Amino acid sequence: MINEYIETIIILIMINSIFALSLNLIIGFNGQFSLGHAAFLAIGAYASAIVVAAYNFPFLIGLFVAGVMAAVLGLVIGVPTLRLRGDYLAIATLGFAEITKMVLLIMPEKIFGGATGIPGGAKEIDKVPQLSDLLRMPGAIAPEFAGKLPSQCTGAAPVNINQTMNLIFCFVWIIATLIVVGYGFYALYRWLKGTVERRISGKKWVLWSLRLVYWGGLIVLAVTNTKRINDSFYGVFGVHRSHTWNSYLSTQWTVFLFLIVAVLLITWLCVNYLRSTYGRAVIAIREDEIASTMLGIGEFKFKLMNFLVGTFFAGVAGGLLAHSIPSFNPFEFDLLKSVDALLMVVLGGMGSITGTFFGATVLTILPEALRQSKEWRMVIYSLTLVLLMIFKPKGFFGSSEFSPKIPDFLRRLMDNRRGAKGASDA
Amino acid sequence: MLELRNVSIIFGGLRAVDQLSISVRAGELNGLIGPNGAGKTTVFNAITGVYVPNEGEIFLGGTILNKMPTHIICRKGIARTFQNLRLFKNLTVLDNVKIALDRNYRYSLLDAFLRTPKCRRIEREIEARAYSILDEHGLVSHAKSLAKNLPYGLQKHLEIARAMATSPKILLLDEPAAGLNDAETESLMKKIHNLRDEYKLGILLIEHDMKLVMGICETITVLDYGKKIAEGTATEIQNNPRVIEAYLGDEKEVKG
Ligand SMILES: Nc1ncnc2c1ncn2[C@@H]1O[C@H](COP(=O)(O)OP(=O)(O)OP(=O)(O)O)[C@@H](O)[C@H]1O
Ligand SMILES: [Mg+2]
Repeated sequence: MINEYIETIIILIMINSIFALSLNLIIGFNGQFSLGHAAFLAIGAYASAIVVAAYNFPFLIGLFVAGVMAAVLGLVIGVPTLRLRGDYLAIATLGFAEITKMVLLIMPEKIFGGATGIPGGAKEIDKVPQLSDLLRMPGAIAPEFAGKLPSQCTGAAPVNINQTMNLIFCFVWIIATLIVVGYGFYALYRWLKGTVERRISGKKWVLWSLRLVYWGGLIVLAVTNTKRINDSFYGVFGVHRSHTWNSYLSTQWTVFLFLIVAVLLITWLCVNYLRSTYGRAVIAIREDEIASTMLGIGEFKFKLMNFLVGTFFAGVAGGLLAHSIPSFNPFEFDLLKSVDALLMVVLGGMGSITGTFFGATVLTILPEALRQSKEWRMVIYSLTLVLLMIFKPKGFFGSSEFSPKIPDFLRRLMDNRRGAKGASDA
Repeated sequence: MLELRNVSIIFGGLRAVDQLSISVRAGELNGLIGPNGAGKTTVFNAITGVYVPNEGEIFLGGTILNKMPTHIICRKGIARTFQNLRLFKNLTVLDNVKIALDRNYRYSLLDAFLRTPKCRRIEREIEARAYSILDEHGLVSHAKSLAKNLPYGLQKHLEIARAMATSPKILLLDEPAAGLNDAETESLMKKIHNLRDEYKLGILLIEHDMKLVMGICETITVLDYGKKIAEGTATEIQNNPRVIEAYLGDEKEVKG
């Protein structure tokens, strides 16, 4: 059992890693100097909090909605600003971010909480459920114990529920059913698609709606299954719904596990993305815009696409944040938050994934470590940064491409040997 | 194939290119020469869509290129190299070529994120193709080194390899021999000749130094102050008094 203060810091390190990584995609890998990244974190946080707390959607859906909403805002901000260069882009994105903050402030107080934020002033949202509540899975905890410390819980039945087991059990079953049912779906989809293509050639929207139905079906299946399977877990293992010290302990590890998986998953997605034709085009634009357009790369299209990818992950980070801090309000997502992320990226090294994690870790811990020294805190913090910038101007991991360590290691894991060998033989 | 009709590019009061007409057909190797600041690079910038011609039209096999964005012009089949190398310096030689190849291959963004079998298969195809291009240009042994770490001569070869990877019909080379020694220049010129023959490319070659162009170009156009002052074979150009005058004014030798 780690104490709550440390727990919060560990959680913040992981969330900041995702947030900084999403900014690094834009600044480090595409060379677009965006200075309003906190806006996307804010939208993500609000979106997930509202969707999960007010409308009771499953948490994972909340995260997804957070990403999508942030990307929608990214579209709104990106289309007019990404045609600008350098300082102009930085100033424009900063302006849009401040506007976003103000808009959140004047949104209906009933839902958005106004200046006091969520959950303080919100009337419809009593409290944003925390990760530890959410990862207990629906029904796993008696409602009167939700969000409470173990010491505050009395009278619980002394049954040891292994939450992590439950989570794994759920995942395995959901994936299994998705594969089985999904394949049936897929066969049907292929058959329909074949019929459609033969009958009405060139009707693209028909195919698209078919696709939509297919993926929608799978998502609905996954969602409904989560609940059903979760319930059946209790049926199968005959455990009672209760909350004990032990279950709290295992919940803490479930939260860590969940966040680690989230960080790894997002890193994996980003590494894949950067190694694809899309990612290479994005990096080429950073290296030389003129040369890349002359090679057929539609500069604006790729800048915007990359911006949306970055803002999506920033939104996801925001979603995670909403469920990890007791409350938040629009003022938290100000210029300083954007600058924080920027510093993490610059410190670690622009265009280096490993560096981002390093930067996020150091810059999350540093202000906390300096907390004792009260008024000197900000001075030491700033001074440390200035010194770092002087002695390590390129960040600790430099601007080296595809940060050598992690991707190479992942590459070896992911590429099947035959493929790698075949290519180098060619 | 590529045709410029009375093209002018005007910067403020300066007519950098003035009523220029040239054409390059498939399999032709044409030279564009002229003293410093004659407007040669500006011609390339006009063809590739960096500048929109103030007057005249640019055609590629019947379609008009004026006002088309640069990346679309590239996809129509025009590739170029730059006077001061514009490689992706911090990327590997292999990635430089892959980036140029990528537009010919397509998979969805979702495939990219999840690195699906489809994505892997296409990536393997791209890699194999990239290696075969590098092989053709004698760069395979440098595939994994960063472009900026290549010797200057090889960087020039890489830039041509990269341009060729977009499978162009027309190749524009801006002073490819600048900064190379005699031996390197000769091998480069031989290669340009071979590329033309092998792919039936139309090549437009800018050179500052006349003697280089004389050797390999069929038709040579001479620019001075944006105007075409002469056009013809090497011997015709060498004996043209206006050309001699333009080059003497620039204190350059005509004969090599
Ligand atoms: N963007 C621009 N704005 C204003 N003037 C320009 C611009 N680009 C080129 N010029 C001018 O146009 C003229 C032609 O330049 P250009 O670069 O085409 O010459 P060049 O023939 O390639 O010379 P060099 O042999 O030195 O490469 C020069 O006088 C140059 O100063
Ligand atoms: Mg020039």
